[in-house]
Amino acid sequence: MGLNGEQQNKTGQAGFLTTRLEKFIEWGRKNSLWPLPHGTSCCGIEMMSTLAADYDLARFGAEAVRFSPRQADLLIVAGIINLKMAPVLKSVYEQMSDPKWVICMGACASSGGIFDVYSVLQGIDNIIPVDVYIPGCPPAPEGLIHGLMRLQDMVQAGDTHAHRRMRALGMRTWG
Amino acid sequence: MLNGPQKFREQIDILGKTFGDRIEQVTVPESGRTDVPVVRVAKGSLGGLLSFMKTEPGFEYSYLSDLTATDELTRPRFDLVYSLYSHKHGCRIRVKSGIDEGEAAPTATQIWPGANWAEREVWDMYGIRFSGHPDLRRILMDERWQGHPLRKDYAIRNRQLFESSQPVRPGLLEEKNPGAGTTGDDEDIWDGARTIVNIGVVHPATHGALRIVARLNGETVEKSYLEFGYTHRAKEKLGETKTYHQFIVYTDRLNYCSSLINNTAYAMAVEKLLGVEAPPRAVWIRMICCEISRVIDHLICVGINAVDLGAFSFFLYGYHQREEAYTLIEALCGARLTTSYTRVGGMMYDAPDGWERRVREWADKTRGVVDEMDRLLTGNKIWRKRTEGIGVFDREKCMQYSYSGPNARAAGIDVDLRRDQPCMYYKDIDFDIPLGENGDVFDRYAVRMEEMRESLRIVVQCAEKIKTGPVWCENKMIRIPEKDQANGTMEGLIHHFKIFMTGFEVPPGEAYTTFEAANGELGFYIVSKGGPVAHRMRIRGPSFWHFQGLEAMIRGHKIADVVAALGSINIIAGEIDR
Repeated sequence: MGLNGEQQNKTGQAGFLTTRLEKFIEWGRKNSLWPLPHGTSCCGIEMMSTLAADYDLARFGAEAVRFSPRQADLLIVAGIINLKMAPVLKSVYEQMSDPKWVICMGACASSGGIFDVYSVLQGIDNIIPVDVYIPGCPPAPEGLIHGLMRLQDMVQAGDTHAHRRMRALGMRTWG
Repeated sequence: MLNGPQKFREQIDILGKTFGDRIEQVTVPESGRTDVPVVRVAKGSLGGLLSFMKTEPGFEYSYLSDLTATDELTRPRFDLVYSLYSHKHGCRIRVKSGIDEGEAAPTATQIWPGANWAEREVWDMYGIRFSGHPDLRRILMDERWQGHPLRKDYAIRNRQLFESSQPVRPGLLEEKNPGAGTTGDDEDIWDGARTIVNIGVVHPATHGALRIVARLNGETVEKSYLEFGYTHRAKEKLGETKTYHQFIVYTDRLNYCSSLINNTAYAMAVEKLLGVEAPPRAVWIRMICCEISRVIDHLICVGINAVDLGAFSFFLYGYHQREEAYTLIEALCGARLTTSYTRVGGMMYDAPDGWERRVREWADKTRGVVDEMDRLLTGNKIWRKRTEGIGVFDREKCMQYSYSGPNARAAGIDVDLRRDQPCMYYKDIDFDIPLGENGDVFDRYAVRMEEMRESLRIVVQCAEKIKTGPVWCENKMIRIPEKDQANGTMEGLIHHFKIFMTGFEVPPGEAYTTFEAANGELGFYIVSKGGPVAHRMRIRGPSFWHFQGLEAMIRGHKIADVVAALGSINIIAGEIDR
């Protein structure tokens, strides 16, 4: 992609960049992810730490937290999803508009974690597609930031569930 | 303070005279099988005995600490267990009554309105019906769930998945007496029309997965009902399958804002059953941990309460101090949130060198930050208008709904288990118990702010009194061998293997251990029938009882004040759902 510092005019004079529209749009998307924080338990507290001043998720363009699925494109599932919650999570995911991404934070959401019991869904990938899994119980804020950066790479490369789904339907992924 | 065996003997004599042979059995602590007297009563006299105990002078067990059941798999199959506490005499007692499958127990909701949800939980988990209960529905599990999970014959992995979420039930919001809410109101500009609003499960102001369904007259909440169970993780069932050592990790995930308090309370509960004591250094470290956790729990509560009402920067001040506290906790055990730091009979590791000094520095700095936060918000006109006189819960209601901790103290109830039932070394520490007057949102905020200062005082005193020494008790049965012993000696290796593979034996008996957690009375009721696994692991989370009061608290308030009231009682979903 041509949109980086190397090609800028080092003398500070006005220059121009060349890139493909598709890459440019993905670049915009990855730097303005709007998360819907679906925090249910312990991981939700670490997600709050990540959003607060010390770790400051705003540095990655993802501070515009939206609690309405219609306004968000990144679902961060932070914490336990049990069988009573599972249909709720599914309908939240379905209400988000494409392209949409899912980060699965922590062991409970990824696999049920230490809760292999009657009430707990053993991994949210049973009901919705997941792009990035973050291990930990709970993951430290650095873990969430790392997961978000990996997701940014995937969005830039057009290699996410949402992209593949759109391509499979014969849709353009860039609007 | 427990008033000793003398008091109980008097009480038991009176009970014997009044109820005669309807009292089936009395177990006293001297038998070694229980921590407080247990009175077993015939099912027919249960209601009579409970109301007698609540009101009779000399008893005055006016506070329902806990209501639960156990599955004995004999005849009668279940035991209902009522843990009662007398604020006046500072003593506890348990009432039990056997009940068979298919039988209905008398409800206690006329005696304590707060028994409502606890009875619903017993119905949900054990399938015991309560006759006369106003609204006996499932509470933790989905309404469509089949079976009762805490019964011993319910398989722990028996899952049931539903296609759709639990539907809203407008029928619950109808008045039993139609027209009662609509007539005679001149200001009813809506002409009797009402809206039903669903708040949650996914909503910024619900603090975890909760749901409030409210019937509104304009913007005023006329009636509402609350729903939870969306993070139910079956910790009580796990307590019946994991060994006492393995269960420590599950206690972290109760109130995850202050997991060190849960760790400590759980360790004390098992130690009480075993009859062992942690050595002094371990106890001092536990006390420092508890008070640090109390501070960070309160910081998050007041911070989020302010965020919900629009004061965002206030939250950021507190949150930075939380991060500093996490650094201290990481130095102890390597984890920030889910600490698992205590062990039965000791601690995982000793505190690192110089930790006490760092704790003192943190306490000094945090005191400054709390003062700064105080100046930022307490006098703020908007804040006061949004909080004063809102969500009032007075003394009487607090007692009815078994409120404890800062929420009860905000209403002026002078109760603090650290002082009233001293455990660890709290009696050697000088601290005050701040009280409110009105029990509104502002008082709950002010009490928490003041409690943070007191906790910091305790932290500093503990950090001065702490001495070097062992952090493990001498009892070889429960003490986990050091790594060099486990790796270097045959005996140590075998011992290590035994503890982790089969666990240590706990003698038969039962105990209800409480501790003043950040939110109020946190209790572990453990029944052991011998062996390395508990027969019943009941967790009494204070939020469960506080949340129940919310319906009464918000009735007649504007919908925006619901958010203020909800934030002020500090609901932690992990503690309600367990």
